[in-house]
Amino acid sequence: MTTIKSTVKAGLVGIIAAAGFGLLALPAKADEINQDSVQTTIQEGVGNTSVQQSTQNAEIDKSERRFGRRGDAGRSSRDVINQTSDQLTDQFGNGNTSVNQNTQDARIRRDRDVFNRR
Amino acid sequence: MVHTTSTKTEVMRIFSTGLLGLVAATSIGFITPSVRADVTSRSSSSNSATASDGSSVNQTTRQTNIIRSDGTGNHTSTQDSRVSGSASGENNRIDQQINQYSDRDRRGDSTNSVTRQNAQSDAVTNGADNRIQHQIDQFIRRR
Repeated sequence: MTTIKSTVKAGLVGIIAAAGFGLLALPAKADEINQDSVQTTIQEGVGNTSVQQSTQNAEIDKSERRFGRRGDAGRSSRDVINQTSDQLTDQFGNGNTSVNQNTQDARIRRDRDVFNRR
Repeated sequence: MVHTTSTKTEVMRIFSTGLLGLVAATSIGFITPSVRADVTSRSSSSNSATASDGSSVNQTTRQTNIIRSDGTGNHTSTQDSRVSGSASGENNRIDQQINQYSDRDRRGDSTNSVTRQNAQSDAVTNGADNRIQHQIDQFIRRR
């Protein structure tokens, strides 16, 4: 009987210890978004028109529950959004028209429940 | 002296119980993640056209990747699209449109996600009164 009690106690102590070390914290869940856009126009002659439009929209919306220790980089999530747009118009001649338009929107929104130990 | 021996025994007992608990937590699966199912979604498209004298070229590419997951694996979504067109002569029109949409809705935790969208649009004209219009729309949503 004493042995059983001791074993149960041991398990509880160990789990509490593991939580104390941050081992029970949720592992990282990181989002990485890469958007690349390339538009190229080459026109040779007279009275030509070029219109380039690019729209990039990236959105990360998440709820995060983290219970690890403060400063433990391995357990915090790191979200990254990279947006690149290249627009090139090369016109040779008279009376040519070029219009370039680029719109980029990026948003990261988190709802977090963090219980850090000091 | 007797008191010191007793304290040592107690420390050893606590230490051993701690180790035992760690082993137990590991075996339950708290520390080592269970089996994970990775998800990969990949789309690729290439489109080219040539026209001359009074022609109209419309090139449209639409790519949609949707992932619904329980959140137990890593997610990778890749969309590649390339459109190229050329025209010679007069009064040609080239319209190029690329639309890329990626949506992932996951439940649970323990998930890393990488999403990549690449779009390239090229057009060349040689002559008079030609018109080129490019449009690229990229949208990514992560929930």
